[in-house]
Amino acid sequence: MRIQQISLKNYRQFRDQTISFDRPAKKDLWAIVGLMGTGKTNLLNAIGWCLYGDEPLSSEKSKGLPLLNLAAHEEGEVGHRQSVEVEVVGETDTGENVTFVRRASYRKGKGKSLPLLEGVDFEVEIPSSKGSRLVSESDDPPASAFVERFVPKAIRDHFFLTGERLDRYFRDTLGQSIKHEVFVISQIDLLEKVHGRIDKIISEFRREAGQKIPGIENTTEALANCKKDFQEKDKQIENCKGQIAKADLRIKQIQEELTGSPDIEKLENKRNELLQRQNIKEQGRNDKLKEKGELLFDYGKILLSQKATQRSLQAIDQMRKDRKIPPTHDSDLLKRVRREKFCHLCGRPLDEKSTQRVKNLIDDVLPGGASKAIDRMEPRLRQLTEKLNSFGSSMKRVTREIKGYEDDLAEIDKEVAGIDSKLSGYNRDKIRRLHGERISLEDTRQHNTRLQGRLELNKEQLASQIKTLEEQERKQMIREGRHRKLRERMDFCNTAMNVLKETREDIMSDIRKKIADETKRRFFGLHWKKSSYSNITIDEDYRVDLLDRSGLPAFGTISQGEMEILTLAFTLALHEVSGFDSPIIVDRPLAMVSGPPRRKIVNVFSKISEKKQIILLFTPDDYSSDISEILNSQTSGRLRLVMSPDERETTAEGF
Amino acid sequence: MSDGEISDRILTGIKTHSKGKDPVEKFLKELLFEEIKHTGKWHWKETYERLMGKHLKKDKNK
Repeated sequence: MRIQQISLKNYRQFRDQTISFDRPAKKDLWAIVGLMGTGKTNLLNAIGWCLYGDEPLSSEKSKGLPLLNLAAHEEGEVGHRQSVEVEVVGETDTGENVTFVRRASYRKGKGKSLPLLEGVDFEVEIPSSKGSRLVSESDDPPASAFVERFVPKAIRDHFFLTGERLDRYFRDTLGQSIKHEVFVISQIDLLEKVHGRIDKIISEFRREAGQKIPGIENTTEALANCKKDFQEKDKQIENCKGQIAKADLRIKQIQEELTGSPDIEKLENKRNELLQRQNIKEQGRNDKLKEKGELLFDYGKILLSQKATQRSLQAIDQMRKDRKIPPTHDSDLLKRVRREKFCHLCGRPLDEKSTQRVKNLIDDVLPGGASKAIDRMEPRLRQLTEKLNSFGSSMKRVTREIKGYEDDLAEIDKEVAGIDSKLSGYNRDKIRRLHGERISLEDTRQHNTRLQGRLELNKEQLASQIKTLEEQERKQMIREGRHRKLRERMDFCNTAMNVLKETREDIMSDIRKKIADETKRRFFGLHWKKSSYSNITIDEDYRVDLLDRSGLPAFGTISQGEMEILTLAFTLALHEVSGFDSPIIVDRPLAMVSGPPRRKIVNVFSKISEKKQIILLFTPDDYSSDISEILNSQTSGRLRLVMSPDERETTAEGF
Repeated sequence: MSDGEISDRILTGIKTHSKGKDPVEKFLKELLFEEIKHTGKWHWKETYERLMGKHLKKDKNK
């Protein structure tokens, strides 16, 4: 079914507007161009409201406002009634029309109050043997059942899209959600519903059997418990899968966010380590600078007295040479030497001559203190001279050490600057938080994977127990011939359930394969750089992966344009497999794409429109000259949304 | 799938897995059509039991 016409009365910006999409001879491609605020998105919202009763893309601000057009609201007196009406005319493959109409009635309130909603009704006009028939929500089947045959509500996002969704779909959508959508379109949910209801009926039969047949109650009770456990395990497994899928999706998003950003944690640890080293080195350098200062101060003093010192030493040397200074001034030692007649300095006995000399020395030395003072001064003077001689080498050493510290500090500064440059421009807190979140998600994932493994093992054991118990129950019922009817009904239900189960398993595996094959076929058919990728895989939990030439996952490196093509390929595959050949309407398909891929994407839509109705909504910026060059020659119709100067009404004009 | 119908894939699957048990096949197909007809709340149990009775009878006659 394609959209033949949309009529809007008093709906938001539209006062009274009909847009027709007459079936074209060739490409079913339509472009609608409008500035922000002229009602492009509200065209999609109008379709959503008409078919499903809600506006999928309305902003928080719009949600609180009535649908009624502002100019219409201001007309008439208090209590005046106005209605909002959106009509979508669909055209079936056989050329018949199905018309969906939703109306909301409003009554004008007092003063500046908002109009009061009085009621909403929905009708569908379908072709019948007598021409056409009007179906309302109170009929059986109700009008909404016919919408489900056009585009089921659960999968409408695969038909009414935005450029942002095309870009984000595989980044934001859980495999489980995709699986659910696939279940809806392939009607597996319908099989499950019937299966669940028959199972409920069997449980009632089992309770009845337990009451009627003696001895069977233990088996039926055990069976009921096993089945309950089995279902519980199933739920837990699904929960684990959900947790794993959520973790996977978030890890993927984090990886994407962290792509190109540095490992903040590691770099900051390194930076802190460098700052600590810098502190130590600075302390060392400061100590050495202090040492150098002290050295200079000390040597300054020595330097000033250098001449006097040298002269003093020269004088002492001369006095010593002239034997004016005795070898020692220790009177006690001299007296002892004289008394013992033994020299304790040279270790030999004294002869007469030497004894006389020691006596003279005692007589000469002991009365005056000059030679003793010289004796005390001399080592200090020599020390000062030595120190002065070592000044050069000490200064060199300290200067070298200071330079060593300064070189190290310059190196550290360079490394810190390098890290700072790597970190600049990044939100460090955010990156650190993302790294932390990723670690925690990886833990969650690991925990749930292990748990899932254990639960699946338990489930297998329970399945085997259930089989044994069912057989046992059956045998017991056969032995008890009186309740043959009950047994027959249970057998019939069990057979029906097995048929449903086997059908479900077949379809699930068949659909997954078909979607994967079809997505692959479409993607490689539409993509302009086919050789960049080797395959598309879809696992049993509907996690989709695009593989590069080396067979590695390529989601991290795929461009926005390519991502849109992949989502489109998947969407088309779902359309194909589901059999719902409804149109695709995209609000701002180029919103997330820049550069040359824009033209390529438009060409892709043009190609798709050879077999399917495509309606694209653009802003004038998106509909740039390079895009209009393609679309002006390939579209079946182009409309421009124009807002009235008082901004109360939008009209659509062909261009 | 055509509008408002059960997919051929499901109908074929049910036929295949019923392995010649016509009453079971028909019972399931009728249940599926009933389900697709009723989108809101409905008295499913009565319909299920009625259809089971009908097809079980055919099964026995067979």
